[in-house]
Amino acid sequence: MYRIKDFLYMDVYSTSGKRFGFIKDIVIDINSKLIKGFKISSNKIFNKNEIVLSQNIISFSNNMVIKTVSDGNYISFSDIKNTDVVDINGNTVGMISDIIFEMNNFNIKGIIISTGLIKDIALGKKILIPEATILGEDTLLYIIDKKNIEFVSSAHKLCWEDEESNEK
Amino acid sequence: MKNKIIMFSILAIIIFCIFRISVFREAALLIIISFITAYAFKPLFQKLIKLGINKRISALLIIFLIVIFFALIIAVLIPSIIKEASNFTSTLDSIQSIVNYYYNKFKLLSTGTLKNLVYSLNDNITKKIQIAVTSSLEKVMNIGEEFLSLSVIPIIVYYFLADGERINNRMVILFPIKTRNIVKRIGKDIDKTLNRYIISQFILSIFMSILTFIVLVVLKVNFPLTLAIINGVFNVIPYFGPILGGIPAILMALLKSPKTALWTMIFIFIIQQIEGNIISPKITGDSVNMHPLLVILLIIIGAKIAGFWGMLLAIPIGVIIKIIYDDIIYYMY
Repeated sequence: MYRIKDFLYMDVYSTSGKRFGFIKDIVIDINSKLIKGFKISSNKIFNKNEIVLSQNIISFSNNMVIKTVSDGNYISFSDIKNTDVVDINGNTVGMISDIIFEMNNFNIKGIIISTGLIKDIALGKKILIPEATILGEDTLLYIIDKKNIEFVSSAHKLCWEDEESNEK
Repeated sequence: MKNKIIMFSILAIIIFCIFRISVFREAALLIIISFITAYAFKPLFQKLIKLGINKRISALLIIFLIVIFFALIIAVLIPSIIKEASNFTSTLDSIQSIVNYYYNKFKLLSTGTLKNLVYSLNDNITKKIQIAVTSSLEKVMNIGEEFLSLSVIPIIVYYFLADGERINNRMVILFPIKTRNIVKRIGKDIDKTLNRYIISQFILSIFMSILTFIVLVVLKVNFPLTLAIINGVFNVIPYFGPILGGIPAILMALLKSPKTALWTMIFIFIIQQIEGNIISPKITGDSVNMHPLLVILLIIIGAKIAGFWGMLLAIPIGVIIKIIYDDIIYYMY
């Protein structure tokens, strides 16, 4: 499972070795919970933002290899970052801070919410299931009312990597 | 726990001693300057290696480049400074005569306090200019004294470039084992971002220098090359740079005639606008993601601490701190 930071600034190449640029953002579709592709900041002079759609991605590790770039206007993560998240009763739960996604089927698995700088350190950042959210114009609605299960990513030790966090 | 406290206190004492004893301090300063220079040229170095040139020869080429560049600057700047210095006293005299002229014209203002005010202002300005000129001449002479230590810098830069990988590995060993993983990750992130920043600023400076050079040559202003390089270098500083870089050029043009100064101002303004709105966003792109207010604050602090170099280095240092902070927050959750 990946987060945005794993892909930011990754170099993007074509199969012939030509460098397209670097990834500067992720293109998402919240309502279908999919990653549509990545926004590339290209080397060329003209300012158009190039997108690589997820079906054109061939492989990635330290860099990414793709078939071709496309064009178009899509919603990227930086557009929805830091939007407020409200629950059904109208209370603000937090702000969108990151997303967790898988790359084999481009599903968004979770949305990471930040509840506040100090609260983050104390209680950890919350994780929301994307199926329980609806993206509105300037807020994200979180539908689950009964808080039986809450997902939290709490602050853990930076230094000694436990077995759980060794997945990559 | 006690072991950690002992270790940290020993480390703190060592660092404290280094900065206190002047011999160590100068050596440390030299090493820091060489490191920054080597890092600034690392993109060029890596490009040379990609072209297939041997590591050591590329490093040699780069320090030749640096040495020749500095030799050129000295060969060009010093005669012009000496020439301008003799102009300066005559300029001061003409300023003095202008002040006297206006003072005599407005004899109505010859009440005691106002007269004292005008004269003391004049005195202050003259004194400040004299101090500035003498101190800059002293600095130039000091550079001659420090020549021995300065000539060590290219050698250190050569080793930092050629053996950079090995030195890097040794440095990582300094950190405790548990933190090495995250230190390496932070290092990689810093490397990527600073690499992009340095390349983009280099391209911007060269571009600005060429444009300014063309403008100055067309307007027949003196010392177009020096002024163009000054403008290009100052452009690296985000918001204050273009203004500070343009002022020497406009002053030089003023020496020719007010009309040339006006044209220079207009052209330089146009160039800055082209660079700022069209080229810079494209080249710098999204590499530096800091709020403009933060950038301005950093530049002011940098200027207070270390003048011109402070302003130049303020942004990279700010970027490094931001990356460390971001990475720690990211990996902590």
